[in-house]
Amino acid sequence: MNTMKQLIGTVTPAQRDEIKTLYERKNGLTELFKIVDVNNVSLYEKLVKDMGETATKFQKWWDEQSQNNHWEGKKDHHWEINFETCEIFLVSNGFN
Amino acid sequence: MVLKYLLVLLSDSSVSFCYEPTHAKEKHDMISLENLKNTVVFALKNNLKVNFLLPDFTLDASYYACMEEIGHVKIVPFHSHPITDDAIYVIDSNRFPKSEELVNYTQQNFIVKLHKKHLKKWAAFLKILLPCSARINLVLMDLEHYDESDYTIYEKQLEKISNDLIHSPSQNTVPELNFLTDRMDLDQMNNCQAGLQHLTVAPNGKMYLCPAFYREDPSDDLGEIRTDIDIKNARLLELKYAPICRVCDAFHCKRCVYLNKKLTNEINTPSSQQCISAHIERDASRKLLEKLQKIHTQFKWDKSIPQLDYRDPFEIVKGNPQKISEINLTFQK
Repeated sequence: MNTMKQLIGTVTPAQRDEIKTLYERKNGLTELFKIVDVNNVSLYEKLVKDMGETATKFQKWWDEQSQNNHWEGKKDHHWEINFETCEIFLVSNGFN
Repeated sequence: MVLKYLLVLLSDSSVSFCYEPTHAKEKHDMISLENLKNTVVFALKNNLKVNFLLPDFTLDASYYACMEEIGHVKIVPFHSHPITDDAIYVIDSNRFPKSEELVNYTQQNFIVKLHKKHLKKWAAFLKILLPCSARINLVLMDLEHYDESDYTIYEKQLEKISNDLIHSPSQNTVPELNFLTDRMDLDQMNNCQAGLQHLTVAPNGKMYLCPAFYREDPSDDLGEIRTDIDIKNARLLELKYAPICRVCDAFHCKRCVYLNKKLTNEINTPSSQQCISAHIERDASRKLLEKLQKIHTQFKWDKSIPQLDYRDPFEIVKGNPQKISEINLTFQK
């Protein structure tokens, strides 16, 4: 079954680079979380702080872009970016 | 492989929502709570969107509590679940709801499994369902048994539905129908992507390409829940390794790898039935789009769908016979 994907806009290459950097950092930190020892308090705290800041910046990018570009949103859907084409898609969370 | 979704079959009698037959209800084997917890943690850690497939009976409260630990969508059988916002309802045409059973549903998502014997009634069924739907996904059951007369019926049904939509009062807002309007929105392939973007966790706690692979043969598993799943010949799931599909523009086609395997024995080769039905839908979308653009000048779709002179890509191959020796020569050059 397909998850429906609709093209709803594009961003500039500079805007794409911004979110791509944040996306890569977020993914890297998520991976790090899986292996870090919680007993190493200083490293763990640093990681939590960095993850929080990155996630906030990441969300802020989507909030600002969606507002500025009037991207359509729907219940049980999320936005996705194609890093190669700079296209933004509205994608269903469910298999319908 | 970049996993985005996880399908979780909570029970052996969970609703079947795609091409696989509806499962016999005698077995009520549930996924163990431990396996469900592992699945939820796995999905949380990997930022996966989860779709739970529910059976037609009420689960123990501990299961619902575990599911609530993660944002999810529930796929449920229509007749046995109360109305909820986060559910996709599966309707089997053997038990199509009467209009009075739908009065309390608004803007819902439905999946309709339409059996071949009900194909002639599809437009009539849809008329009942449309007023309470945001989106309807059609699954043509028994597709492997379709012949020319069935394709003709299907074409006529799509024509009827298109006419109904054109004369519907809701001008620029055409409801989402996977078989008719999706193609209007798409500029590239948007197939099922089983094994590429999503995997399935079965009640036995093992992973599968999709629910149909589990139901067909539970021993055809991909192992325990983990990210580095080893799928044999995984590249064959990718569009670029599907020689027929990669040059096709029936972008809405499910390109179901389960049907491919079942009907052609090749996971990357579609059956004639899948190609023809997708092309009938593509052509109905083309005609509907042209009509809508003529009637509503403010219509949101500003693209066009080219007309084709074939329904099955094999028709082209048949029309251009080439001897194996000629093909070999081409390669040698």
